[in-house]
Amino acid sequence: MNKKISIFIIYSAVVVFLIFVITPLLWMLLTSFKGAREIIQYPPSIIPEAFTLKNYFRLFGDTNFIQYLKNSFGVAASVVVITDIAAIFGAYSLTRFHYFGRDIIVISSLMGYMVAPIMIVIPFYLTMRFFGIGNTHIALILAHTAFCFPFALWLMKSYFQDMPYELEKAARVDGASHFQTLLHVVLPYALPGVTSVSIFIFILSWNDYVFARILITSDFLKTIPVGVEDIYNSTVVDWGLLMAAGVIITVPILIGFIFINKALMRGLGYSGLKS
Amino acid sequence: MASISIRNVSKFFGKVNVLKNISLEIRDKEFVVMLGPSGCGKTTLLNIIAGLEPETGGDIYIDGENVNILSPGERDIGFVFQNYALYPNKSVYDNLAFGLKFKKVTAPEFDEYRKEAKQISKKILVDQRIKDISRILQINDYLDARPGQLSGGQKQRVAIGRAMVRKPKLYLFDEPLSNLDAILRVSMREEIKEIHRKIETTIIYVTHDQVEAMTLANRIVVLNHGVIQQVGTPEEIYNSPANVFVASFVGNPPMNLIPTEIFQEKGRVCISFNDELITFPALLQDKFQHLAGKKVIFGIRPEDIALNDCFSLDCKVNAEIREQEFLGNTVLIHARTGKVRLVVHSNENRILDRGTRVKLFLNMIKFHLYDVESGKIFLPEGVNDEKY
Repeated sequence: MNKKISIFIIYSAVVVFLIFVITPLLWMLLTSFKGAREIIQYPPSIIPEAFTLKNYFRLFGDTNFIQYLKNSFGVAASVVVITDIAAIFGAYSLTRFHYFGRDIIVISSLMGYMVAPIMIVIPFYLTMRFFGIGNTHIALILAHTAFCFPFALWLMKSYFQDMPYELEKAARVDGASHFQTLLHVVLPYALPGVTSVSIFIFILSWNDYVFARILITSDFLKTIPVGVEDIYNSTVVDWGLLMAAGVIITVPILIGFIFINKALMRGLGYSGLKS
Repeated sequence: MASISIRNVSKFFGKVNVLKNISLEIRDKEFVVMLGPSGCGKTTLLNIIAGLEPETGGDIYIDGENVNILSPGERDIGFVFQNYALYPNKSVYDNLAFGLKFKKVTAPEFDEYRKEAKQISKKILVDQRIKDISRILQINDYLDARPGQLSGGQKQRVAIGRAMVRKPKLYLFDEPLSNLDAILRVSMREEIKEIHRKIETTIIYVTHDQVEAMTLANRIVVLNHGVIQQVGTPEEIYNSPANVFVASFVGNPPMNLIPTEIFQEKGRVCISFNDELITFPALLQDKFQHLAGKKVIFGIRPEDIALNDCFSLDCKVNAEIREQEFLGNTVLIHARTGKVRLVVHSNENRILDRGTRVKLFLNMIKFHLYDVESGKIFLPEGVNDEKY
């Protein structure tokens, strides 16, 4: 009896929480299918009375949204590739070799995380301008990489630590070099981890607003979060357009989260236990 | 084909000295088993021979060549790991092929073809070799399977196969059977012996299981606390353990070891425990006379104690039966004479009541005396190991 009550309480709490989380998303989705008049009518309709895809057509036709989308994809993909490569080599070295200052490197890699992004973004902007790459995607990619790397390194490290060392010994007896061992034995083994880390990095980069806002000024180079905000900043707030943009931005992230959910939890759990 | 020479090898993990000045010569085609309790350094020594672990001091020679600076891949060895260490995301075939990926593959049997076809692709050679090995090991039906789909015995075969495809000159086995169940272990043991007979290559095999060591080895190296305790054939190790450690470690149930003192009574050398006086047979009187007055450990194997008069030279001891373990063909009797406990391996298939007073006959040909302080064996004067 007692158990049933506690289960009931837990489930009620979950339901309440889910309502809080899902309602805005659902509202966004439903609103994106409504016409301009229906959006502002009172009392509001929940299910669109006149279902329309006009908002989406306008989003792709009348705005630079497709360009923003391309930019976001390009930046996020580059960040994933660069961060992955750096984190894989970094984590492999941190878990397999002993050298002076190893632990300091591990700890200090987290230092960047202690400071809020908003505090580094101005110095970062000045640095980038100094090097003549202000207002470029390179600057943005560097910023995101710097921001994602510590997390990627720690997650990857936990995956590599988790791996039985005998496999690598076997590979070395089989005549593989360190690099070949990494490529043929360690990476295939850690592939689920690498995948989840990649998706996580992608989402971080995809969602970033602060760096993109400060570093990118030309409209042609803007990523989605900044681009969409500029839609919002126009004189007349076009809610339908905004909601449609919101839906398009959210979908890849939702899919990504569904994929990495389990793997990420595992990674976080291990990193907590082992390092 | 390789002889291995280990010279003054030592190893420190931080401040812990796991191997202390190990020197050992292993002959070509020999099957050497390193036997010792966990933590004795046997696996570390194996890793050092393989090059997987750097030695702190000393040298390793394979076929007279110093291999200290060579990487494991360059040493031309095959290594079979305790947990198999198969690459989980590769098929059995690819697991076997992996070792050949980084190696130049040649096959004398193809030399004639090669002259005709100029060149036989490596792929064909690799394929041929894997097929051959998998047939020998009876894993040819699973070549497409992943290691996760195999049973323990099959995994072990694949692990051995992976070492074999490279045709190394030296095989290293690190407790390869300890993850298998008892029945499988026995059959795999036979197979490993069979493989050694076929391939005629030097094998160094690490185990903590004395039965494996006894059955497989040409020579056994007993290790404890990073020190070689004794090197010898299984018979030598069993019949004349060089010190108290070997005496207590090899043999199941272990040898009875009784601390006592040698003294002379009426001109005859004897020892005593409890109130029982054990007089050495006339044959050995002179040989142990020089030990009179020494504190010793008297060692005698359970099978060298009997409940009836079956030894040519014996000595009787009164004892009381405390416990008995019926093992089917034999009975293990735990007896006590005063405070001294004696384990007796009796072939008599009868159970005696607890508390029964019996006479135990000690085989006075096959006992051992060890120095209390050093633990080393006291050999009878003028008698070599062979006498035992």
